[in-house]
Amino acid sequence: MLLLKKYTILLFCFASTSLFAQQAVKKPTVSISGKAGVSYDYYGLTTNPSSPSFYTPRRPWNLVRFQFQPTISYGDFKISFNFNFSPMVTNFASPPFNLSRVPGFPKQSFGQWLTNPMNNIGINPSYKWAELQLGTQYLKYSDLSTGDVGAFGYGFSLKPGKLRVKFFRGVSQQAYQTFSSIAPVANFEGAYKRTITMGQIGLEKEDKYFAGFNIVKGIDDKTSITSPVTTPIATPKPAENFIVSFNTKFTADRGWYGQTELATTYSTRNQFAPSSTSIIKDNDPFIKARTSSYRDHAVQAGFGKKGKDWDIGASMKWLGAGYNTLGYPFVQNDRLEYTVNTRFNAFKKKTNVVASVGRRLGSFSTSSKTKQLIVNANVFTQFDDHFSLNINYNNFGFQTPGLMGIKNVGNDLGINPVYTWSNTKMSQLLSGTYNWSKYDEKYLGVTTTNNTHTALLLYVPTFFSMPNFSPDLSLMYFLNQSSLNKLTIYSAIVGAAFKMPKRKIDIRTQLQLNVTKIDPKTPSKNLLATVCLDWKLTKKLTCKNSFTGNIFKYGNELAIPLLGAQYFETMYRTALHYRFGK
Amino acid sequence: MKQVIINRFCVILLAICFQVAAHAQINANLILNNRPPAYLSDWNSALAGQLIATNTSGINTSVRFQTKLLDANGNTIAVSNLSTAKQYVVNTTATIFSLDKVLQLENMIFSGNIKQLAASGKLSPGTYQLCVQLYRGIENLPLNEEKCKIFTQVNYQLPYLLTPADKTWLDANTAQIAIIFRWSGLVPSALQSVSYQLEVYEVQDGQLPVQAMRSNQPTLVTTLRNTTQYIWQPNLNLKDTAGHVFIWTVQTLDEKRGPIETTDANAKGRSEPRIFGVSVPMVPKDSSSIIYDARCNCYRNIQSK
Repeated sequence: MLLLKKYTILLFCFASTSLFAQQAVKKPTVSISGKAGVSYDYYGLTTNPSSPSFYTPRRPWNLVRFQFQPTISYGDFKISFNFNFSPMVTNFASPPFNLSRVPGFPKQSFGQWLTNPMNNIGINPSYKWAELQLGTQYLKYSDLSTGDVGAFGYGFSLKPGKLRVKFFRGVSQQAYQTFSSIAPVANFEGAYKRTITMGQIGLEKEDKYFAGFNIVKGIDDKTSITSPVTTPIATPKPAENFIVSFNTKFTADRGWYGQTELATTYSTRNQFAPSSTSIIKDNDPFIKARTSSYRDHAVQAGFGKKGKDWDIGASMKWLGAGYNTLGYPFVQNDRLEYTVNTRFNAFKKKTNVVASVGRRLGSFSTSSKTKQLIVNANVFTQFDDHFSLNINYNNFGFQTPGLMGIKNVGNDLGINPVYTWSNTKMSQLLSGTYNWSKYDEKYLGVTTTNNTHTALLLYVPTFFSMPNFSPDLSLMYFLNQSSLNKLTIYSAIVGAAFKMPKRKIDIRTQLQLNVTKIDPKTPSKNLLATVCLDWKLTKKLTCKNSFTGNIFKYGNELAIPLLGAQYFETMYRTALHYRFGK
Repeated sequence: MKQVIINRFCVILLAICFQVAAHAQINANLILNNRPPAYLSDWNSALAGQLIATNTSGINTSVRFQTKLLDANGNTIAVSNLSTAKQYVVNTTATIFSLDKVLQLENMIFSGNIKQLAASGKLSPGTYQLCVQLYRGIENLPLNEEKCKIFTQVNYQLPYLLTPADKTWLDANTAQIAIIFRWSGLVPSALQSVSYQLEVYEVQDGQLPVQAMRSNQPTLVTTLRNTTQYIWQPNLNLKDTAGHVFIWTVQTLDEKRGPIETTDANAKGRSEPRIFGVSVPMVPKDSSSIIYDARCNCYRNIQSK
C-alpha cells in the first residue's frame, strides 16, 4: 500500500512536471518583421542655350521604385518576401544597353521585366533547416564559382545537421532580339537568354568550418535569337560554361582562421563552333568540346590569426588566362595577386593601425607580365579627449615592361587632425584635412606628372542652449596641376540641421558654392542647395524628402555658340518607409 | 616499250597542262587583319579577314583548303588534315570565305605547344603566319601557290581600376567637391587611339552593386582619350547620414568605338568594377563605430558621439 502511494505521488510529480512543461512551451504566434516602401525620384534639367547639347541628363526623368520586404514567422516556419522593383528601366551596362529609350525599341515583355536586374521578385519560405528559393535570388556559393549576378528561378537550401545541400536554376539574362533603327541611332546586336544551374554539397559547423563542392553550369539558349547579326558589331556568341570548385573555411579557437578554394572552369565561347576534341577533350556528361572551348583553373587562399587587439593575415588569388564563370561576368582573369595585411591597437588602444601591402601581376601567363604594387596604411591616434590625428598613405604602382611600357604610379598622403573644445555654452569641433596626391602616368613613352593638393577646414559648433540646431561650415581648396593643365576649385559649404521633436520632423539644409578654374579659362561657378525633410508620421511610418537644385554657369571653356552656357538641375526624391513588427 | 614511255609522257604533260590551266583559273586572295580577334573561334567575324577565291574557268569548281599555322620561327604549330577537309564550291564569280572556314580548327592537327590555346582559347601573344593552299575537290592536286600572311596575336589586358580602391569609404566633406578616378592603361598599348568610358553608378537601397551597374542609369558617364585619370565634381549632396555607395567601371573602346573583347562578350570591354562609399565623417574609431553596409557588402566607420 505504501509502495502504491509512493508510485502515485511519483506519477503525480511526473504528470505535474509534464503539465508545467507543456504550459511553459509558448504557443507559436504569427509575427512579422521587415520593411516596405515606395520612392519617387524626379530629375529636371534646363540648359541655356537649349541646343546644341552640352550637358547630358544623369538620371531618369522619373523613377518609381517599390520595396516590400517583410518576413512572416510562425514558430519554425518563416516566409521572406523580397519585392524590389520599378516599372521604369534603363539597363545601361546590360542588355539592351540603354536602347529601351530609343523610339521603336520593343517594350520589354513580362519575362524580360521579371528577369531584369532592376527588379527583385523573390519569395523564400523556410521550415527549420529547409528553405525554398523562388524568384530572383542573388546566391553566392563561393568566390570562384557563382556569382554576383542574380537569377530568376527556383531552388532550395537544406541544412540538416552539418550537411549542406543547395540547388538553384534560373535565368540570369533574358533574350533580347537584335534591333535596327534609322540612322544615326545605333543598332542593337541582341543578347541570348542565359540560364545558370548551380549546386553545392558540403559539411558545415556554423562559425567553425565549412568544406564543400560547388558545381555551376551556365548556358546560353542558342535558339533564343532569331537573327543574330555580324556587322557592325556582332551578336555575342552563345556561350556555355561549367565549373567545379572545392572550397573550405575554418575558424579555430586560438584565433586562427583561413579559407581556400580551387576551381576548374570549362568554357565554350561559341556554341555554334564545330564539335572538336583536337584542342581539349569532352567533359562528359557536363559539356562537349568545340573548337571554341578551353579549360583553365583558379586558386584562392587566405590564412591569418587574430587576437584581442591585433590581426595579421595573408591572402593570394590566381585566376588562369581562361578562368571564366558566367556568374561573375566582369572578372578579369590571367592574374596573380597576393597581400599581407595587419591591424592592431597600441598605446592603451589609443592608436589604431591598419595596413596592407600587396602585389598584382597581370597577363600572368605571358612573358610580359604587368606589375602592380598596392600599399595602404592608416594610423589613427586619439591623444586625449580633445585631439585626434589620422594619417593615411596609399601607394599603387602599375607598370608594364619595355621602353614604351605603361606606367601608372600614385602616391597619396592624407593628414587629418581633429580638435574639440567646449565651455559652458557650447562645444566646438575643428577638423583639418590635407591630402597630397602625386600621380605619374606614362603612355607611349611620354610621362605626365599630376600633383593634387586638397585642403579642407571644417568647423562644427554645438550650442547647448539650442540642442535641436546643428550648423556646420567648411572651406575647401583643391589644386590639380600637371604639365598639361591646372585645375583649381574653391568651395564654401554652409549646413544646418534642425530637429522639431514635437512634430517629429528633422530638417537638414546645405548651401554649397564652387568656383572652378581650368587655366587659362575663366572660372565656372556653381551653386548647390539641398533641403532634406524627414517626417516620422507614426511609430512605423516615415516620410523622407530631399530636394537639390544645382545651377552651373560655365566660364569660357566652351566655344561659341556655347560661350557662357549654363544649366539648372533639380533632383527631388520623396519616399515612404514602413517598418513591420514592434 | 616506246609506246609506254610516250603514253606516260603524254599523261604527265596533260597533268602539267591541267595544273597550269587550273592555276590560271582559280585565284585566291587571302586578306588577314594583322591584328585579328584574339580568340581563334571568333575568326568567323569579318574583322579577322577573308579569303576571296576567283574562278575564271567558267565552271563551278569544288575545292578544299590546306592550312598551316606557323610561329615566328617558321615552326609548324598546326596543319589541317587535307583528307578530311570540308569541300566548298567556288562559283564562276568571286567566292568569299570567312577565315574560320579557312582556318578549320576542327580539322587541325596540332604539333606545337598549344597549352595557352587549350587554356584560354587564344594563342600566346606573338607573331604568327597563316598559310593556305587550295586543292581541287577530292584530288590531291593543288590549284594555286601557297598564300601566306603574317599576323600578330595580341591578348589585351583591360585596365585595372586603381582608385578609389575597392570597398573604401571617402570623406563626404571632400568627396562632394571632387573625387579622383584612376585606372591603368590598356595593355599592351594600342597603336591607335583608345577611349576609356568612365561609368559611375549609385547603388540604391535594396540593391547589390553589380545589380545597380546592370540596371541603373549611371550618375556619371564620360569618355576620355588616352588618359587614365578623371576628376569628378559630383555636384550632389553626399552628406546624408545613410551614406552613398557607388560602383564604377571603365569601358575600353578601340578607335572605331568598338569594345575591347572580354572573356564574357556581354561585358563589352568593361573592367572588373570596384565599389566605394561616401559618408560623413570618416573618423576611424573602435569597433563600436563600425557598421555593416549591405549595399557594398563591406563595413564603414560612423561618427561616434
